[in-house]
Amino acid sequence: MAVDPLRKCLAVAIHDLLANETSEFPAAIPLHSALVGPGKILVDGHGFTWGMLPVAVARAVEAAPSIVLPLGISAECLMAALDVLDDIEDGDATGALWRSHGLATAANVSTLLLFLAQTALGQLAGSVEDGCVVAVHALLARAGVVACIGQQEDLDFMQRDDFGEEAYLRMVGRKAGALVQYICQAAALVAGGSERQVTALAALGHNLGMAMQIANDVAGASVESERRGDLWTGKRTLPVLFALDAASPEVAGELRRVLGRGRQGRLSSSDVAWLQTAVEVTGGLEYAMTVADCFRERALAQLTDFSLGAVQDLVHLVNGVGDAEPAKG
Amino acid sequence: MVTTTIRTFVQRLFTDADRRAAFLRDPRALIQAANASGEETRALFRLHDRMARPESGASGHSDSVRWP
Repeated sequence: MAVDPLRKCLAVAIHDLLANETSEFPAAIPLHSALVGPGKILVDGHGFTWGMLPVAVARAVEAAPSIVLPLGISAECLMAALDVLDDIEDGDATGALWRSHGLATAANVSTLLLFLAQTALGQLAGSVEDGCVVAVHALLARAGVVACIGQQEDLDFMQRDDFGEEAYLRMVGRKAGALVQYICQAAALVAGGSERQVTALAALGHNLGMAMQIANDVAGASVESERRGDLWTGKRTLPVLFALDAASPEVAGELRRVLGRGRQGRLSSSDVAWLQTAVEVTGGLEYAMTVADCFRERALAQLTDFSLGAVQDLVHLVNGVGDAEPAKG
Repeated sequence: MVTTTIRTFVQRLFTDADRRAAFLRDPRALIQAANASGEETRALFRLHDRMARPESGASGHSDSVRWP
């Protein structure tokens, strides 16, 4: 399959942004590292990248995708920044920037990327109306606030036993749904979508973000030491919440004890293997995958009034949730 | 927002081996009986596709469960 030429344009544009804005930044290597990796546009490949999501949205409203390239650049920088921060906050990713370059540098790189995301949005000026540019900035700010609320809820859940699936889904909606909703909504606005199209694509984004985060949590509950998945820290994501509810009282009790040791960083490989098996045989993984699929279907349902040919990129993207690196956390 | 239909469906699959075997043989009857919404129905068929793969293990005791 040929690489979308706009993907190459985006990669070049990001390199240009870095060259123009960060030539004097001393930590060029970690900055570049943050922008490279699975799901990032600076990696050669065909898989999903955040930068191409606005392009897919622009095509859905049958606009020239080049108009949303600044949004694509911004989305790449924004998500790279949040990935770095998420690794710091979770403290568990073996390949994380903070492990190789230290917490201070990782935090500073993330801050720089957040500002670069704003700088990229500035490139919209001149090609779209000022009111639209202001609106996009406001949407980004609001989405960022909501995402931070969700992220804090996620962090707080690490120390709590008193939450269930509804609270988890609400948290995911804030932590991940809000950000993907912003990217899609902003792209639809910039691309000149109708009010109905903008609303539909915002809803698609929200549901897509939900599906991606839940898929990521499935991976975190089913992949072992190489990724230091969620089970190592006793994190109660959707697969685990289901297992706690579905297991026999004896197994549920043992699950709680082992998860509690995970919070204290006291799990062995065999503990994690037991957790993985318990979550799997109770149906936790399949349940969470199916819930993610429901959100995937809700995302696709937003496209019924769009031209079939125009939404192929979005359909392909939504159907690929779980194949590529989804939203972290 | 909590999908009780899905939750109940999956719980029963993983606690009833006969039901799981029936689901793997022919998912349509069980999915129809679940009175699932359109999106839930499509998600449940994806569930069947995953569980029916040779490497997934019908018993649920698979060595690895991969996201499709």
